[in-house]
Amino acid sequence: MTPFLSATGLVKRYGHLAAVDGVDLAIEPGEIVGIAGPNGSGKSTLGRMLLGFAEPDAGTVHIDGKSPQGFRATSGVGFVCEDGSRGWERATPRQMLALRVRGARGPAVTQLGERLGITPLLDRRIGTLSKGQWRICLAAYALVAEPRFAVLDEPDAGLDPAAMGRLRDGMAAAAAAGTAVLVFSHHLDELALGVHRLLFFASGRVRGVIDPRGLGSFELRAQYMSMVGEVS
Amino acid sequence: MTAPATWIDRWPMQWRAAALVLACSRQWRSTVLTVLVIAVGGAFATRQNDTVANVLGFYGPPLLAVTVFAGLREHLARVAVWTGLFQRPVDEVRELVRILALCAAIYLAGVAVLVCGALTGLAMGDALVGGTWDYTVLTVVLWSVVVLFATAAASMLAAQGAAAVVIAWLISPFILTMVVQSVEIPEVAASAVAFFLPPVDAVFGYREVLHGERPDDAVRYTAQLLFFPLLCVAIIGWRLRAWVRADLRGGG
Repeated sequence: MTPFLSATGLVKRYGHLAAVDGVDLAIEPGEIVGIAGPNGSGKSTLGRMLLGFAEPDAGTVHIDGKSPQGFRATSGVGFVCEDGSRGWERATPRQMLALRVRGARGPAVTQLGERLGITPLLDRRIGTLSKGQWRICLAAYALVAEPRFAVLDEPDAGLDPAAMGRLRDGMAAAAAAGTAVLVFSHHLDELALGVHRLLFFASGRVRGVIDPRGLGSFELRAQYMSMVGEVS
Repeated sequence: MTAPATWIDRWPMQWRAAALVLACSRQWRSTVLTVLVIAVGGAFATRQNDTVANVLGFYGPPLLAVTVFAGLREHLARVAVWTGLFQRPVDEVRELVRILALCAAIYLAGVAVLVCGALTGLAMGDALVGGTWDYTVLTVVLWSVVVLFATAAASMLAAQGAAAVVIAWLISPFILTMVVQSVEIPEVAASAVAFFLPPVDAVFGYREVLHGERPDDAVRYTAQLLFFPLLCVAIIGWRLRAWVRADLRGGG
């Protein structure tokens, strides 16, 4: 059976540099897949290609049988991008959420706001939020419409431990509702607590896949270093 | 506790994104205040001297258009704006057209305020004679529309320096006139080139055409005034379709 999301032989080059170099990936609805890897390893480029925000030089992506652009235009997706605030500083998180769901004061926003702990932030100008506060609001924007596929690129950057826990709960709730979630992070321990599969990524390639549940910090780091450390 | 409704809650769902993108694209309060101050100041100045009305009507629209459209273009090219907008299930070209349409409406409203200032000054002053009213109104309306299309198209065309492209395009008809006068260029060739430039001659001569005073130019001027917006719409459509293809917007 064809997976919900399938990527085959994805390649993206910037000049002579292969940012993504032959990636195959499959994700099913309700699955949370984590990707960890060093800075500049091609994770963000991979995320943008999977969502149709960047065009691969080779390879294909299908989401529910459609191209990423086609899927995005008909179903919508969730995306926390690396540089998520530039351009929205004068808006409030609630005004942004109103672009995704009817009734920015309705139950969907209220429930997600409480789950992610952002209710007091909803009516503040985005330009006045801290990096961590804005990252978790971006996660809310990505997940509030219950998309069937979401890419969260370092949503936990700048988050305190409590906020990380709430973000994990938010991702788990989305997955329980059927969303396929791909999350990039440098926080191995946090990823291990929240994902079903963890991919180690370096130099544009998937270097290994593990089931991180039950693994301790030391084992995780050892696995990471053995698969990624030598090529990063 | 429910937070009070904000202005965006009152907008129709499909126009909310366009409204929010434009609201975030610049500091509107200072822009609106500047337009109001110029309009009021222009009204008083026009009472004394009607050339101020012409200056306001001729230079006001391009300055306003460059301010509004060039800023919008730069704002839209930001990756965060793009990915924020288009992770929603929307047709990207239609969404961008809605944003441009709203931007055009804001520009026209600003021009209307400036023109009201100039016309108020004309009405209060002693300089108003004979055909000044219809000439001023017709010319400013045609010129504002030409500037609207030229600026929207040039802003979509130019990744950087949209303002310079707009100004160069708007003054290009005058340069063409100078070139034609100094170099021997066949009239047919000059006319053909003029179709791709803002129809400045048609704008300033159309009142006479309507009064039956320039029958030889009537067809050419009318064709230029109709063709130019179509040309701009074609450019805008081409750029928007290219833009929604991946990797063409800023930061790719």
